[in-house]
Amino acid sequence: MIDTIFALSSGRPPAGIAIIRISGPQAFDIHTRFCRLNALPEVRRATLVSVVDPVSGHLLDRALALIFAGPHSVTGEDMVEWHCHGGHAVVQAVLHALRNDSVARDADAGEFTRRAFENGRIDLNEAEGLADLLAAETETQRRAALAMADGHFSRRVEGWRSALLELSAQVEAVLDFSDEDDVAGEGMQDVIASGLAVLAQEARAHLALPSAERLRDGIRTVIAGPPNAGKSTLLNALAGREAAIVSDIAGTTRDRIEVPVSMGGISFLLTDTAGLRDDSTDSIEAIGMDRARSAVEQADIVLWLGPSQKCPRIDAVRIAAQCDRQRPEREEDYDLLLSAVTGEGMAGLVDRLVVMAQDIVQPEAEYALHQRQRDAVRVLREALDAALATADALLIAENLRIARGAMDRLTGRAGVEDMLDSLFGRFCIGK
Amino acid sequence: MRTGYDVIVVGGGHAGCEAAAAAARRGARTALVSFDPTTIGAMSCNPAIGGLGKGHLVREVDALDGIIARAADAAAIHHRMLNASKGAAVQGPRVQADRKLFAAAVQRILADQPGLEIIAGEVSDLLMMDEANVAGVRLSDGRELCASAVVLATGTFLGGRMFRGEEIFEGGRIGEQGAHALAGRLRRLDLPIARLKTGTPPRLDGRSIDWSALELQPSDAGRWTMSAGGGAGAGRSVPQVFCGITRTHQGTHDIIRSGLDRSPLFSGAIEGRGPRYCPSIEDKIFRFGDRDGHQIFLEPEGLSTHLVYPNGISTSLPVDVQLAMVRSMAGLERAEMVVPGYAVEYDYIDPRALDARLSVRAVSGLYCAGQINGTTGYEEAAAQGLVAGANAAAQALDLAPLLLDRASSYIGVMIDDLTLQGVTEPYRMLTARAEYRLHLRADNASTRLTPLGIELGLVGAPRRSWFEARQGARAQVRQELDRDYSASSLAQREVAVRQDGARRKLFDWLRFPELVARPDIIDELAPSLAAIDDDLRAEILEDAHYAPYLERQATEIAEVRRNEAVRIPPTFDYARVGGLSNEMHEKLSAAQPETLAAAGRVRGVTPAALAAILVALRARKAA
Repeated sequence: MIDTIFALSSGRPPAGIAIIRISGPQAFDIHTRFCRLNALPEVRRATLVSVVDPVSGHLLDRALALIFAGPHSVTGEDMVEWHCHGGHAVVQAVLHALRNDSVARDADAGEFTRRAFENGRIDLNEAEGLADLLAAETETQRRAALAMADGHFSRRVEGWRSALLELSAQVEAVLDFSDEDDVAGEGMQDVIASGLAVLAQEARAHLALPSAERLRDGIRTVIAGPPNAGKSTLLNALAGREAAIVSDIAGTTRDRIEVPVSMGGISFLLTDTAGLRDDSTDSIEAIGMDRARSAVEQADIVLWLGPSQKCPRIDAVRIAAQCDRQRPEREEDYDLLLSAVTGEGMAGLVDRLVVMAQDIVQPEAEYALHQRQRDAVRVLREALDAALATADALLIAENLRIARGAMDRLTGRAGVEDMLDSLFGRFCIGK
Repeated sequence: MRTGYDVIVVGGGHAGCEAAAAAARRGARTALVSFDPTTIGAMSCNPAIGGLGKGHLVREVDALDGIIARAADAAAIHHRMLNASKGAAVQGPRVQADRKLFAAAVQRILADQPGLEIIAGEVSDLLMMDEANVAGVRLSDGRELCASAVVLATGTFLGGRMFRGEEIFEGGRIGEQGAHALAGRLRRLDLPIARLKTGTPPRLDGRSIDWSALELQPSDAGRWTMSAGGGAGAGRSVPQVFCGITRTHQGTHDIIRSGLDRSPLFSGAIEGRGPRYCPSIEDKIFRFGDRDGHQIFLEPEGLSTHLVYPNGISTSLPVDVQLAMVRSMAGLERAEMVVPGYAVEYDYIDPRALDARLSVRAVSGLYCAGQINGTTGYEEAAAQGLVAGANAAAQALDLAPLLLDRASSYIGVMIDDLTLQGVTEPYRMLTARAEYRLHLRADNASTRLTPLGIELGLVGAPRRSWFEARQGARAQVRQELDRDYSASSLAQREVAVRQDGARRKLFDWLRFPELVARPDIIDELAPSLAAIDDDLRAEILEDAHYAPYLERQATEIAEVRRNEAVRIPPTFDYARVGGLSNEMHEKLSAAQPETLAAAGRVRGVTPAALAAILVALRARKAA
């Protein structure tokens, strides 16, 4: 017997509406008992119901109810949705009553989607794209997820797979039939090598694509400079709130402070760092400065708020900050003049950051790769490079096989179980 | 009259002989039933054993103490290591065998095998306990032989029908009858039966060939044999002969084209499909019309016969066209045909009806091996025979089954392919079929399989002691190879390796070409490596050469074997899995894969389908 499951399917309360989904063979029974109905209402028609705890008889909420009969529902099972008031107390009371009722149980993470998949309502690609889509917070993420869900990358992988198969067939012909006269042996090595080189180049290009994690976690933007240069003030101005403590005392920020911000449809992870100076004797401040230096090294974008000749990275944006207090001697040494206090230069900085970020996430790149996908493409590239480096047809064939294996993992032809677990593990409960 | 056995084998070809011998080696009271015991061990088609992929199978059967390699050695009149210039993993040992010596060797080995009885007769029917259990066989003279298990190794004889031009003959081999009563019986059992075809070329009289006009191919020098040792007399015992090479040309092709309308392949008389990898000459001309010629090997059939086998012109054209075709080629202008070529069409059982033991899933105790399972080739047949015989004995005597997977052997690859994919043409082994090819070499078959053979009681005492001595020698070599050497210590011996300051085991240094080029230094550092047999030395050096890849494959194999852990119960209903196409549903239901990993190998099954099956399996478990 299949369990009936329930969960809060909308966002975290408090919210305007909270949608509670119940799916499974007992869903309609639960609905009629909780709503004290004599008969099942018409499917797919919103009705107003009073949700009552069947144990205590207390009214829990007045809700809008929708019922769907399987297999014509999202999960493919009988399903009920209660659109309740979105307060903490209401949601908790309804969920508590359902739990107490013991007919249905709390859904596991991803279980609704898993059931949809199990009942043939969606396929794996749709599921994977759906996971990304649900998690997308910015426009760039949404487009990348949609491209992935639409199968753009899958089609590319299929293309690689058939190219690899073609090359394998050529190598195998050399290996298995070269003594049988009817297969050309000479000259094949060159044909194969050029095929390998083309694929290796494509794999390299894909490894240069932004990672999906980068899109999700944001462009690492580090604000650095000497003590008391106005770094924390700038962070707060960009974040639109007091994330960092600001004072006139040099060395106030001792460690990195990270704040996620969305600008122009792109996620940024802003990092405020300890001021860099040469004469610190404070050991804690010294550790903070070490961290600041490594943050600068790893950053995608560095905003340098110090003397331009001391700028730590050639590609940093050199900012003359606090220009309300003093103008720099040579304005042409700086990319921007800025005052977080008056707002001078702030709009220009934001525009500049967005342009730089777009370069990094490559808006023309239609999709981004997850770690799992990047790992497989890396295996592909390594295998192709190894195949190119040898004249032993046996090793070329072996490396092509390894490359095909990586593609199989990518499409889920191999290692299905691991992939399903990682995929469905990414959903939150109720989706 | 009723007589009782543990195992009965029907057919005395390569599959039947291995099956009977393997069952008897495991201790089963075994009967081998043949139309005519004097034809046991006959080579129906080419007089060669081994080749690419096929040589691997021969060595694997040998590693499990089978017959075929020993018989081939006793009859080998020409040796050739195919792909000798490439890595050992794709090298294929091949010998031409004197037909008479080969059959005599097979018959001698079977006669010497305790517990094995040979019975002349035609099996006309199966005795059944009930619909799902076999109980023995009935002969056409009325005798009944009871047994717990029956192995069918009927070759091309099951419903066999031969074609040559417009002529049609009933039978499995020219001049021999077919097994028609048994074919009818199997069709009534409701097994999935269809037709395949194969063919054979005309046989020529060697005295009418102008050998002086031909390129000659001598036998390889060297000492290698098909059997790895521990079997019959090691070494080469028979005089070696030359082969000749000629070619077809446009004139030949025109003659063939002119006869195509009279070929049963093209007139529609033959419904079965032929092998793509060993096509008839008319198929080759029809499909690769742009080629200006094909190489034809002229292979002597034996020391005491003038018959010559022209390898590459298998045909079912009318006799007059065959003769014209033969005489169009250089050296064959005055050749006489002794027996014309012909095509043969026969019944086979869709091997997806079998499990990994080669047992028919629907009928307990019934096993099939060889061409009846849709394969072509002596080697493929022998390998299946050994597996079916060993497992028939296991069922009769309640012993552990012989189960080989893709990671263990070419035999495992073949059985997995057959039982999961079925066949659309006669199945021939190729090294490309084996994903763990670097590991599955002809030269390490004993290392891979003999321990299992010993464990299952398939390996006799002589090979066992040979193998144990070999393992002892290997251990000693390994000790020497495990010693560390620095780059500079090799440089002192004038081995020009890069001075990277690394210390490596001698085994690891052995993949550096600079050291490989200096066998004298290898022998100095590992004196026991010089003292062991050539084949073991070659095996160890090959292991060292490909070590990083072999390690990677070992990891992969371990992972695959773990994935085989998700089992699909035989009662699993694919109709209830959402999202499977009709085609996938059909293929999976026919093959009934035992694990999820096996389902993933069924062609046409998509990743999404696999995931759907997995989820359904889990739901089933949870329910």
